[in-house]
Order: sequence, then structure tokens, then C-alpha cells
Amino acid sequence: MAVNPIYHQTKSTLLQERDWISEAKKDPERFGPLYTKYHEQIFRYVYQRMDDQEQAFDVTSQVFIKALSNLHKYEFRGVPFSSWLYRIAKSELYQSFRDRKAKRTVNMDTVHLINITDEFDDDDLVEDKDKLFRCLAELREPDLQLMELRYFEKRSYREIGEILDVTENNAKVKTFRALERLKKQFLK
Amino acid sequence: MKKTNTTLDREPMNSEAIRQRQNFNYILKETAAAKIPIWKSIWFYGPVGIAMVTMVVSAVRMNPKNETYDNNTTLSQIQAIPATQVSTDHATIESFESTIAEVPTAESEEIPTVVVEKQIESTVSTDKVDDNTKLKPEVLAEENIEIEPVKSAPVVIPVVEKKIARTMPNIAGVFSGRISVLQICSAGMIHCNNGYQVISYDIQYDNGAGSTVDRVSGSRIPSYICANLKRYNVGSPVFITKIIAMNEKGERKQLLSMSLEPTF
Repeated sequence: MAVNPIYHQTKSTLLQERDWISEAKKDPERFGPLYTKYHEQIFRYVYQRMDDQEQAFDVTSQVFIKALSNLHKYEFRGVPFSSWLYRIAKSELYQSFRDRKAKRTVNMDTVHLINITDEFDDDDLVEDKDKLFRCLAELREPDLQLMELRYFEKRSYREIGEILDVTENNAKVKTFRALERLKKQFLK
Repeated sequence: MKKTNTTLDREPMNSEAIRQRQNFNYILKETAAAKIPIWKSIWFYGPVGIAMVTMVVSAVRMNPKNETYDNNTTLSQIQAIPATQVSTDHATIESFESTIAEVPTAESEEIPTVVVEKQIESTVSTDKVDDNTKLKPEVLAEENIEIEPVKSAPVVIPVVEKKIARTMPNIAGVFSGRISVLQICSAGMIHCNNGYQVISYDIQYDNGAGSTVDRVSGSRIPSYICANLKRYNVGSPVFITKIIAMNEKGERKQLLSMSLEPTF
């Protein structure tokens, strides 16, 4: 499965990002390049889990406001700045659901479902897409999140690990187990 | 109940449309507005509050003038007391009922204002009172003395006579505090100023079997009491209370109680 290339960065781009961050810590206006770079990524992450587009823009703005307010706490650890933003986005997203008493949304494409069924290694299972759709909706939240990150958003295990604050291997194992549970549910 | 909403094949959003919604100025503005000023944060109030309390406490403790002697005694009043050279090594004023203000010093002097609860104005000739008959501020505090503020700044001491608030009983010039047993017994009686003479009093002392209270008529100290004082009361307090005195006109009054500490 092809993975989203946006997340992966060369060493030089990571170092440049570090410079932007240290400048932004001194002067918030220097946060501009980081905002421009990551706004779309964060918006798509948020909108993937929400119904309302305007609400998604609001949450995205809130993510950057939180990031800029707490930038002095950020420590560069050799991973893209976006992993920190994703964690803030996740927190803001759930806060928004609580505030609005809204339900989380799972947005799926038919292509995503095909990606998952490819992983089942069983041609007979591919046919019943509606059932797979229902089973995905009934997954537990952590499993659903892993499915989204891996199969809908096409993220690498390394990126998933950085977003969820676990190791790459752990992310891989968790995703595999989630897939197994989905398969089990699907075969019932 | 379903935990999630599910949507299939939602129309994807254009990157250009997302980029158009970028508004970095709004982020800057909101961040500045959300920033709590340092003086409003708990991290400011904690250390600064502790520092302030520490400073106030140390200032109070380091400045002896700020000591509180009594609820009714202000700093200016306490400062006025040394001007009258009031101190007590031997004689302090002490009362079970409450209050007295002052004892004369060796030099007769005008004390501007010393007012006491249950005040009885009188003038005392100072010849009978010991040089050491002075008041300490602490004693005033213990006795809950209420002193009127001294209106003129420092006290001038040119006058020959000193006004005393009350008629004072004393033994060999000692009203209260340490006095040798020999002094008690050689004086042999309770003296009084203002033309008053003691006609009866209660004395509480240790007679060897325990503390006892004897009612004595007249101003003399009986020899058996004297003997008991020598034998059993050195170092332990002796209280002389309910001292009734009478002047030449036949006016009776109860004087302040005395607390003595006999020594060798």
C-alpha cells in the first residue's frame, strides 16, 4: 500500500523546521511558515473526523492557537512538527465533540474499503462492502483510529507511532490486531 | 446506540479552497488575547505572595517598636513610656482586679497623661518609693493598662512632684516583685501614700503545710507570718490582697493588691 509522502521529511527540512520553531518561540509572527506548511494537513485530519466543514476550520484554527500559545513547551526530538500538531488536533477534536455533544464521524471512500479488504487475503470477502462498512463503524475508537490513520489516510507506521506517541513497531502490532478484530467481526 | 456517524464517499475538498481559508493574523490575534498576563497567573501569586508575607513578618519581627503590648496601647503610647523613665526591676504594678498605671520615679516629675481603668486621681509624694520603682512596657501590657495618647511629643521632666493615679501600698518601698525577707520583716508593715493607713489585709503565703490565707488587722506583718516567710516562702510568691486603707478623714478605700517574691 502506498503511503502519504507529505509527512516524510529530509534531515535538512527537519533542521529548517527546528529553526522556524526556535524563531517562533522568540517572535510569534515567525510561526507563519509552519502555519502555512501544516494548515492543510491538520484541516484534513480534523475534517476526516467531522461532518461540518466550518466546524472543522474552527477546530483547525484552535489547534494552531493552542500550538502557538504552548510553543515554549515544545522540544524538538528529530520528528516532524506535525506529530505534535496532530496530538493537539486529536485533543481539540474530542473537546469539540464534548462541547457540542456531537458524535464522531467516520468518512470512508469505497477505495478505502478496498484497501482494507486487500489486507484480508480472502477474495470471497471482498464482495460484501456494506457489511464491511457497518463493521468499521462498530469498531472500538482506538481500533477505528488506527484503521483511519493507516488505510484511509495512508500513513506510515512510523508516522502513526509519532501521532499516537507509541513506537513504530507498536503501531504496526496495534494496527494488525485492529485489522484482525475487524476481520473477525466481518466473518461473524 | 451507535457511537459514530458514518459517511461514504464524501466529496473531497480542494486544496485551493483550504488554502484560501488560512488566516494567520487571526491565529496571532487570538493567541495574544488568550495569553494570561504574568501578574494574573498562579505562578506569579504563589512566590510573590509568599515573599510579601515573609517581608511583612520579618519587618514586624525586626522592628521592636511594632510590638503589640496591648489591645489598647498604640505604638506612640508605648514610645512615650520610656520618656517618663518607667521601668521595673523591683516594683511593678500588678493587680488582680485589673489595672494601675504608674509608679513614681526617684525624681519628681510631671507625667503628662497616664490614665487607668478605675482611675483614682491622687498625688503621691515620691520619697517613699524606691528609685527602682519604674514600669516596664511589658508590665503595662500584662496589666491591660489603657493609656491615653501623649499629645506633646517628648516628655519634659522639670517638675518636682509627680502625679500618681492611685494610692499605692508598699513594703519598704516595694510594691511588687522581688524583695528580701529581711526587708519585709524589718519594715514590718505595709506602708501607704496619700495619707492613708492600712487597716486590714489578706496575705497568702506558704506556712509549711501548704498555701494559706490569713486575714490581718492593721498594717503590721505579724511575727509568725514573718517566720513562715523566712522558712517557707523564699522564692515562692506571696500575695497581699484586699488591702483596706483609711485616711485621716475616715475615708476607706481598697488598694491594689501586692505580689511579692521574697528572696534572701
